[in-house]
Amino acid sequence: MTLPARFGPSLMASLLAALAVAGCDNASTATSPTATSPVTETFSGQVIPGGSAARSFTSASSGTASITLTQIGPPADVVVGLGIGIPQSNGSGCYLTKTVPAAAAAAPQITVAVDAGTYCVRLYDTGSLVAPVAFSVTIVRP
Amino acid sequence: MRARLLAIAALAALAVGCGDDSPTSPTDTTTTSAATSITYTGTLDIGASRFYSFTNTATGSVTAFLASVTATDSRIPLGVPLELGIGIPAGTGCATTTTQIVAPGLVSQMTVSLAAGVFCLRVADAGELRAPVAFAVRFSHP
Repeated sequence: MTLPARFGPSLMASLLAALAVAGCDNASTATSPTATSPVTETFSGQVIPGGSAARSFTSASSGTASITLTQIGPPADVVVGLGIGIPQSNGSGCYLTKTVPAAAAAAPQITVAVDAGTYCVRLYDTGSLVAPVAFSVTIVRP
Repeated sequence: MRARLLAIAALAALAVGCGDDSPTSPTDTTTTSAATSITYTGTLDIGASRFYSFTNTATGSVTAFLASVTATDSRIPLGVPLELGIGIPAGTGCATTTTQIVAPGLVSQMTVSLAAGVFCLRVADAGELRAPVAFAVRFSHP
């Protein structure tokens, strides 16, 4: 398409300006942030006899963290150690603050106050495992 | 040619205008010094103490909590209290100005406002140890 010389530059500029406004308008209509606390995370995996599994999580603010071993097995009634602490700097596990013997349940086995920061959950065999077991842990944190 | 120049100018304006949605660096850097978070770990014999020296780059609060006390062999949490202290390095030790006996937890147990300078965090047996333990203290400083 050929435009008359006296309209070409100004028309092009107007179109691009309109494009610019439209582009910025999209950015200005961002959706409102949704509530982010408490947050639920799921930690699933497998523990072998004599072994352990750990996962770190980050609390965005101070509050209460609760840990629930929701599923484990087979067998479904096996008891393992469940703990919370802070992660080791080399990433190899946790410095544990509190541990409990835990079987699968719907209610949290550990509920603890935390500050904002990074923590970890550790699941470990206390001597009862004779074969690898799958597990699922729910972490609810601020 | 003129139309092309106008198009380039308009596109540049578009980029600058939409850039307003990007976060900008804070301009008031004097009041937004970031805290450094440290995990101090070690073992503690009966009746013993250990300390860690650190440098505050600005005036601010030092917070600390005893995250973990475990048996040195099993790493199972013991829940035994230890003495936390903050002070000034003196010779080969740490001359504490604030001390507190605390049990393991995951929220701040000690908060001390300090000027810029070199200080130390001390962990000591509060008289409760019956065997050596491993400990982990998380603290943050300006």
